[in-house]
Amino acid sequence: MADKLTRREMIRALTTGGLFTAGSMTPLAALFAQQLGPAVRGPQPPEPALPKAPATLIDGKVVQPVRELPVLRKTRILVVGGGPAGTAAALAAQRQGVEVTMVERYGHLGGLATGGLVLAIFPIYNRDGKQVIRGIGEEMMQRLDKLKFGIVDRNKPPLYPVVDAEAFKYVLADMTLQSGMHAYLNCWGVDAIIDDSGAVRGAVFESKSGRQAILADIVIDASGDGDIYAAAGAAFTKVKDNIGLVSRMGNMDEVDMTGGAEAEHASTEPVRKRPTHGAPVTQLDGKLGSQTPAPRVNWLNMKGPVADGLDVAELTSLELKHRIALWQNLEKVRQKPGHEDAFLLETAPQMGVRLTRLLDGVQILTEDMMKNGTTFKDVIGYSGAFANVAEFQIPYGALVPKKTENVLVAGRCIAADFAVANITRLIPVCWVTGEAAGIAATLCVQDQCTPRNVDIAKLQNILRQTGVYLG
Amino acid sequence: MNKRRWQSVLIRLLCLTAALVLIWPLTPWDNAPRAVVETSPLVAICASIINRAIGFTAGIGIVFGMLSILKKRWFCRFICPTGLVLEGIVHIGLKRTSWWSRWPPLGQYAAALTLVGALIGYPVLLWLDPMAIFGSPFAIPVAGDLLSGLLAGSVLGILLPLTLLLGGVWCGRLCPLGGFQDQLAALKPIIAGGLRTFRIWVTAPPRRPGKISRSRRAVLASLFGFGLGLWGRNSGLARAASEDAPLRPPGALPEEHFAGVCIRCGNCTAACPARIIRPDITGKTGIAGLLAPTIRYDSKEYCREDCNLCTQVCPSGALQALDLATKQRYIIGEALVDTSICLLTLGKKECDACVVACPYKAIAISWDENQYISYPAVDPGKCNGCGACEIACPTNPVRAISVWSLLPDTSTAGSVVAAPRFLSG
Ligand SMILES: Cc1cc2nc3c(=O)[nH]c(=O)nc-3n(C[C@H](O)[C@H](O)[C@H](O)COP(=O)(O)OP(=O)(O)OC[C@H]3O[C@@H](n4cnc5c(N)ncnc54)[C@H](O)[C@@H]3O)c2cc1C
Ligand code: SF4
Repeated sequence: MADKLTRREMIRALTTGGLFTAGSMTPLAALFAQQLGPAVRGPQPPEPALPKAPATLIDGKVVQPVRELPVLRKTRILVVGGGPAGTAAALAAQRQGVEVTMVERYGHLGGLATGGLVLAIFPIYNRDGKQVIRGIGEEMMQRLDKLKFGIVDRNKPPLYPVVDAEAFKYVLADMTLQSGMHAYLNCWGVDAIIDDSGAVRGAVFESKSGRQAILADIVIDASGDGDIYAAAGAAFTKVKDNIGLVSRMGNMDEVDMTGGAEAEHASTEPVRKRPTHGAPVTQLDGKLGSQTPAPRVNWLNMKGPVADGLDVAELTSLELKHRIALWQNLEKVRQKPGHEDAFLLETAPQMGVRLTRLLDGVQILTEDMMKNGTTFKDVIGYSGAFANVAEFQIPYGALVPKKTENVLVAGRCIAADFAVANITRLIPVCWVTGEAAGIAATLCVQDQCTPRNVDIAKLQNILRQTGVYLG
Repeated sequence: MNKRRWQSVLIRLLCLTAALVLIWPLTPWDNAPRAVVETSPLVAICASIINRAIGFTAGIGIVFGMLSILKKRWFCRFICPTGLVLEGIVHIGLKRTSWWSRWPPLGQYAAALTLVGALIGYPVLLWLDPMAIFGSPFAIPVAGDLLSGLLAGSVLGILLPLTLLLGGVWCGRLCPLGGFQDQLAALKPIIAGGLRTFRIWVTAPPRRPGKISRSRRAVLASLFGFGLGLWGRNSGLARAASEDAPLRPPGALPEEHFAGVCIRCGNCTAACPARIIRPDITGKTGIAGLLAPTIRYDSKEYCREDCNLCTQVCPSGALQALDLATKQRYIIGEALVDTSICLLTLGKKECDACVVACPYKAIAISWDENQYISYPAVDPGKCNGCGACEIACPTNPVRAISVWSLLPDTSTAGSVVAAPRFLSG
């Protein structure tokens, strides 16, 4: 692992401003150093030219020539995706002292939980209101709790915490820097790297630096869409789900805040009236959404129509239509007395894609298992209770592809049937699968085994020690 | 006490014990509580009239009725556990007055009213049957709150002090089953003597001059029963026509008959493991509907898909016996969504609790492109009104999705016992 890159980083770290002595060399400094080049303003010395190999048009077909890719990094554990699952995985692994590299498509961390403006954190409680999702996710919430306007409705079941997206981005950036892991943002994983046995050895990325490879002992696919395991040839089920675009509105102070947390679930009508059959008949006069930790700011969820989250044309047309609808909604909101000055604070930078690929794993979690509360020997955590479904166990086997080696999967694209994935995709459950995948990956590195041979007892032990609830 | 009386007491003690064991229920048979109540000849006959069929347990009651023709008050003497309990109380009672013995045989009128009512599908006073009364206190611990529990056992609650004060007035004058047995016993000479005896009975003058004759009393009682039955049915029809009629347990007859046929024995309330069946004390269903069982989804429980117990224990036929598969298709009501408070529709939360909760997969999220909203859409072909969605819906105090009574189906209204409604398939 001690290649040129690392040594150069060391030197950079030591020279950057001369702020750090070798003794106080924190991982933080290393990460800053990794991202800051020599600070000379103006024209730069020429870079060694890479051999160019553009795609060519042959007989009407576009052909990508075989070419060697520069290797950006060699790492122990590569985490693709920096959403709830990816950040939990990367942080958990790095804390075990194993070197981690995390790559994220956007310029912030948190995935749909921040960039998707999906701000409500559920389900974290069991039937009796006891919090059963802890570990790194709980730590993130505790950090948010220390920030002004960071999180509301903590520890108030049946209400669920709601976070502020920017506060959450800040917390994740801070935790990432402090952990000492390597992170690359605005870097899109486009392919898997496999060896001749078919085992995954890393991934290929596109960024402003061009197409580059990262080699790794173990890859954790936390892309939400299973981009990497699909590219590696692992089997999966493709599904379609609702795709919406979440937004936040400002100047909403007279809307929801008065009643505080309890008002969130309050029905506007005190007595029930018999509704009519079928589709809603009354034209809704502007959806107001519900409160966020930030004063005067509401978030407006959108379920959206069922669509293919892997089809760029569909995604594009939906995103454009959603934006128009959100503006029209704003205009309706402004017609309500007291809301004349409402404004659209932001539409989510990330489209609200819920489910696309579901892994064909060693153990597929099914609706029956979920409803019957099936227990697993290789349990790695719980989902909280949701609707009439009690808290249920998540097995390690749901994170391991049936055949493909050296990949672990975390987040919304794990091995579950559609009904279960509707719950395992939720933010706190992604924390759970992320944390377990991270720890399991460190065991693979330390014990030199593949994910399917991980010592389950050891894995569960470490999870327990780090505060994860295993029943 | 003579030997025969001892024998009778012994047998009745055995019957009391058996009834307790069956109704508790300490036996593995789901419909044991039903059998206890149906041993009453009055219940058995009324239920058979209403259901147009004689079940096995009703058969026992009818046999007991025949025995009562041969032997005056045979049922009182050998079976009735309520009578035995009351007799015990008479012995410790304050006064052993019997001035009430000059009262007319009110129980006989009650029985007549009830039988005539049963003919038009509304057995008016069957809820006063002693076997129904015997069962009702077993619903107290599960009736939800103390008040409805106490009311559920109220008839017995009234009988106990009444007996303490007035002694054997219930068995002697008030009990419709006692009265019915007296009527049955009166049949004996008629059966033996044929038409002639019947003519004598019909034309007999009043015992005391100036009073109404026996036959006229019978006719009056019948007319009265007919009238009350009609009134009960009409109030039921009015209830059924309302937009917010009470929800009845699975297998229930249509609303216009249900409250009349139901004898308030409390078997269904006691049997329900989810404890969602409660005697109605709200008064919303009028006097005619008082204490008849309703389904309430105000706890954390719904009508479970793996249970049909209530339909197995009903002795009156107010709840038809349904096997599990048929019970799942019985329509308790329909889930309707108020999109003006639904968290999903309003964009307040990523909620699909109702969809997840539905055991029959009857709810799906629908997308309305014009209004750019999503809403939970209930498939009326799959929804039986079990309430799983209602208890899962996080809005309060009013749930965005809740179960409502079916609006009356004009095609079946008016028949004597309209069929309950089921999902097809
Ligand atoms: C509209 C909407 C509302 C929701 N509401 C709630 C809610 O109220 N409560 C709740 O708990 N959950 C909610 N969810 C679900 C939840 O937000 C997500 O399922 C959860 O964030 C998934 O976490 P994840 O880490 O698996 O994936 P994501 O959050 O999708 O994170 C994946 C990350 O990987 C990155 N990535 C993807 N592909 C690549 C690639 N090829 N290369 C590099 N990076 C890549 C993405 O940019 C992203 O940051 C909602 C979802 C949506 C869409
Ligand atoms: S559970 Fe209630 S609030 Fe949630 S989607 Fe269903 S109807 Fe709407």
